[in-house]
Amino acid sequence: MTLDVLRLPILGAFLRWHYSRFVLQVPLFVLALLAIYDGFTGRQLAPTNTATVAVWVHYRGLVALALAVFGNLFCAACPLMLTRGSTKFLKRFLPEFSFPKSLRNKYLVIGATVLFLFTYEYFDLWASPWITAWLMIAYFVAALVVDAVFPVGTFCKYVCPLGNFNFALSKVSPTQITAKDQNVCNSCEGKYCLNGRLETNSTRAPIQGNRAEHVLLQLEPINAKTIGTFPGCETNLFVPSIQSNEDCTLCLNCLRACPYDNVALEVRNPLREAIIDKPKSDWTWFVVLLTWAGLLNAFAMIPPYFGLAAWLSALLGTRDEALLLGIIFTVALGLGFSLTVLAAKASRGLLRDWVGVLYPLMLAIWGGHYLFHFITGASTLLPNIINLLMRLELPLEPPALVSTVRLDAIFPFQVVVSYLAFLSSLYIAYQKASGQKRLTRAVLAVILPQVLLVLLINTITILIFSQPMQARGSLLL
Amino acid sequence: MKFFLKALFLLCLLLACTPAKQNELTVKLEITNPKVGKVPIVLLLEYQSKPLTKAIVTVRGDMTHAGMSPVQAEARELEAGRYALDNFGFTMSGDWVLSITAKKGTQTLTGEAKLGINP
Repeated sequence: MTLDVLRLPILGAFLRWHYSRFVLQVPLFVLALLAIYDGFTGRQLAPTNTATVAVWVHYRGLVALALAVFGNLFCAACPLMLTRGSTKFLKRFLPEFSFPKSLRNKYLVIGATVLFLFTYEYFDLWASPWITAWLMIAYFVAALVVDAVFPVGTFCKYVCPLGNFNFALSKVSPTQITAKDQNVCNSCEGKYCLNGRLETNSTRAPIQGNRAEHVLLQLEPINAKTIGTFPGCETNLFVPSIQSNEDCTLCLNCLRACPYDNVALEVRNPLREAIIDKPKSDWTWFVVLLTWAGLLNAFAMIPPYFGLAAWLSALLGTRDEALLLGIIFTVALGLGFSLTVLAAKASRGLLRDWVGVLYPLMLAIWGGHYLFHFITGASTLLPNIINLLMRLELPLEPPALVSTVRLDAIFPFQVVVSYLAFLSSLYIAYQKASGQKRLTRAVLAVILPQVLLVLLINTITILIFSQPMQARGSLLL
Repeated sequence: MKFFLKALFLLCLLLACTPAKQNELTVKLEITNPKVGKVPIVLLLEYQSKPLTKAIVTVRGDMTHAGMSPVQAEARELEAGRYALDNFGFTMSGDWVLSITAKKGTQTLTGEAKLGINP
């Protein structure tokens, strides 16, 4: 017996509503427009500008929170997908190419993520409203162009680092799309959840796929509500084969395309996917990258990071920040990757066999870091928006100054999150090693390297979170 | 095509906008030990190359990183052009920007100063 969120009284009705995604997207789109405007025209001081506060504080904090308590809500509400109308328009004039086979994996995303994290530190993206506004525009343009030239959904699946970050972290989310009854899917003639559905009052056919395989069904006159064009999954997921939240944007196209009402958004054990998952190598490397890059990203906000940079600068006799950052990135990620591979080998398996152990830690590292910024800065967005609207001549009262949050009050929350992830990872390692068997000496031998890896990552996480934060623009004094 | 040209034109206009100058006040800081916690600061304020006198001066401190709560305090005048912040509480080490607002009669003057705070 599984709980289907889509059957819940109010939430379920809302999610099933045809315009639910649009309703979620519009506020984020308006916020994005305001943020871009403020980024270009407002005061270039990050905490007082909507662009930097919305992107680097609220977006990141709420993404982590939503992934932990529900699922990939931010892909569902992604305002970039409001470019679909323009994409369709451009497709009339542009040739459509198939996305190169060699790029149909996550390696492009891995490269984009490393580049993004490097530029984030090197150019202090978090401190510049102007660059942040440009970044938002670049994102809109990239989504528009990629999906205009290639099949729609290419951007989400193969290019977008933010979306793929959400896909990865949603591997420990408590909800997942699934088929209610596999038999219904087995007898489905059109795979509509994948191919989309084009339905008139007397015919039904898939929108895409090899339509020659499908007979245009002759139907009796049916309920007007089911008539129309319903796109299928843009990231090419086939509902009955979904075992994971990988590549799922929670757009719920599948729900609307399925004529048999056979799609559920089930509440699941958040650790289930981590226990059974053996992802392909591109996904495996992406998860390893996000885990260690998460630590590095948090480490870059505490005094020892700047101490390390100063030491390295003195050792090499250079003040070239790009070089120093490059060395820190290479060594930190290289060490992390090596340790993770070594642990998998010592556990007598491949990296993909054991990577699920990292899923909760990955969420805790990013979530704990984002939680800090979100709690300290949660109340700064509204005053910035009010100031912006006042600049646009709206008759509003100046906002009161927000109260200061005690920074040390956040640490206990971070510790709780870290230890929950730590215990979850131990449980996953045990399940992967033993299945349902008892804890024998042989199981212990297999599990031990994973326990040590998890312990190491958790210790580093807590050590980083326990340090006083330091927000500095330059790597070297 | 026309739509895209219009959109491009609007975008160019938008990008041509620059934030209004806020440094009408000339601000210098006297601070002996810039570290986390409550720190005494003296502001040296000049307006049109003359020391600012008899103004109500408020100071807001922000970190350069978004997501940090600001700190605000009122400064008291010591002598012409010198205003004291007795216990300005820096909550975190790193780069800070002090935004100064001085009200003198009907005039509101603003300025800013940057400083680094040690752990």
